[in-house]
Formats: sequence, structure tokens, C-alpha cells
Amino acid sequence: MRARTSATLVLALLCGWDSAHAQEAIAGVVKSVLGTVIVQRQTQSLKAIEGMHVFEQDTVRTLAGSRAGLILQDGTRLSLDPDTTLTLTRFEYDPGRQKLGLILDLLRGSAAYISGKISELAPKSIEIKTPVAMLGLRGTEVIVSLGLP
Amino acid sequence: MTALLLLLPASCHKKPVVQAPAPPQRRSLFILLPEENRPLSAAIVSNAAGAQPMDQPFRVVRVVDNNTAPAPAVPIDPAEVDRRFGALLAALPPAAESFVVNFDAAQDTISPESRPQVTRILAAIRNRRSTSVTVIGHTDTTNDATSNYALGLQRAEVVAAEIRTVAPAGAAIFVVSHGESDPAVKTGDNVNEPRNRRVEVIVR
Repeated sequence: MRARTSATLVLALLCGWDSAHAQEAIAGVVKSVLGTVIVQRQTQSLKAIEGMHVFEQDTVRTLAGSRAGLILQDGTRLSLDPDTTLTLTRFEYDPGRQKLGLILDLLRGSAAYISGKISELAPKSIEIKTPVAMLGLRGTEVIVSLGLP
Repeated sequence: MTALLLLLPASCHKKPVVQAPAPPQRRSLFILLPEENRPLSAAIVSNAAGAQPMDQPFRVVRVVDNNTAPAPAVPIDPAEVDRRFGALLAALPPAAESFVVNFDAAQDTISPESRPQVTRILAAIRNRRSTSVTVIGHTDTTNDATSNYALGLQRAEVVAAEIRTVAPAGAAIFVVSHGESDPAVKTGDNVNEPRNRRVEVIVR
């Protein structure tokens, strides 16, 4: 996995770490990639590598047999099972201006979540949305696993 | 997480060779787990047809579709969670690490006692191959708020400069100052307090 990371580093520097994004807009980091993980950013499809930054509105998609682990700027931790699609619909972490919120859209597959600072500072501002129901969270660890359609 | 994994037997390698294939999962599962260091947790599962609260760990709410009310929360066996989601939970990254570096009075000089802390920060960045680090400068309440904002920023920059020498290319190092507004120890104005002269570093 490490070898693959190095091999794709140059590619990531060219397209994954888009310098057009201001640093403060970074929502989090892809910390682990097993297999093939795609980050959909607007019209771009980027192959995720460890250390790659993610932004609000990015969609992370794991292919068959692949997994991903992410850590958001507020310390929120996420992992994705194979065949999972998750969108970082809203990520606001600006405690100084009281702007706090996290909305994740799990569109397919299974994800685990451990709360971070946003949950501590604004307990009612966290939602995991899915096609079948919405999960409102107060400081917790959960698994959401969608049934097959 | 650690606590949870300890609760679950590592049974993956001991399973019988012949196993009935798991039936395809038709319903969606919302599972509340115990969270380390934070016992109070709760969640509510809601859709167009109803809502169900969960306020205890190892409870699951099952949902058929958006037009069918979520079923009431029922217990789920930790061993079943491990069997179906052990690999998912294992893929959660380790928690971000926080460090505090203390500074000499009215200076942007790292105190000698805090040098080992800097060494630990640099080691954490290397070991985690961290590409996201936040550096927050703080001061005590000696002097006015404006100059303390500037001093906080100077302190943060001193630590950030060391971090940049080891951080991977493309890493985001966020450097901010909270000045005297976010003390570790609450004091009155114009109080010389060593514990408030610090830089916080969060390594993700």
C-alpha cells in the first residue's frame, strides 16, 4: 500500500491537492486507502491516496474490495466499507464565529463514524442522511449500513 | 474504539471452514456503539414515516425504506457487530493527537522544558505522515489584547517553522492565534501565567 502511495504521489500533487482551494476550506484528510478509492470533486474524478485533502461537497467512493479511513478537521473520524459512497455535504468548523455543522450523505454501502469537536461544541448540528432515513447524532460512535436496493 | 475492540472476541480466525452464506441485507441498519471517554451519547433515526431514538450502546434501529417507520431500537450482539463490521471499524483512523508547547514570558522562545514536546510533535507528524496540522498560539493576559494576538501568532509561527521541516510536500499547516482569549487557566487581566503562554498543536 505504501508503494502505491508513492507511485501516485506525483499524480496527486498535480490534481489531488488542488492549489485553487484555500487551505481554510479543507474539510479533512484521507488517512488510509485500501484498494481503489475515488474522490469526486465537482466534475473531476480523483484517485484517492493517503494524505490527500478533501473538501466540503466532495464525494468519496470505495470500489469493490476497497476501504477508506478519513479524519476531518474537527477530529471527526470516518471509515467506509467496500462499495460505499459518502458525500461531505456540509462541513463548517469555525468555533470563533460559532459556525459549526456536519452533514454527511451516505448514498450506498456502510460507514462508521466517531464524533469530533463539532459534536462537542454544537451537539445538535450533526446529521447522517441516507435514502431510507436520517440519523441525528449527539456525540457518539455509530455504524450506518444501507440495505441492498 | 480501543475499549470496543477489547470487548469483542477476535474470533475471525477460529470460525468453522464451512459457513452458511450471509443472507443479503435487505434492511438498513443504524447501530449505536459505545464511545471511549464519552459515555453520554444518543441518536435519533427519522424518516417520512416516523422516528426512533437510541440512547444506549449496542442498539440497532432497522429501516426498510423512507415510507416505512423505523423499527424501535433493539439490542445487537457485540459479536455480530464484530463479525459484520469488524473490518469497517478497524479502518477508522487513529484519533488526532494534541500537544502543548510552553513559552517564556513575553517571548516567542520555546521554554527549555518544552523542547522534548517539539521533538514529539515532529515524530508524530513523521509517523502519521500527517498532511494536516493546526498550530494555535496563546498568551497570558500581560499586555493588551492586540499585542497578545500578534505574540500568539509569532509563537505559533516559531513552532510551525519546525513543523515545516518535516511535513510532507503538500501538507496544510494552519497557523492561527487566539491571543489571550482562550486561556488554559482563567485569570484576571495583566496576570503573568506560564500555563497560558503556549502553542497548541493538533496533528491529524
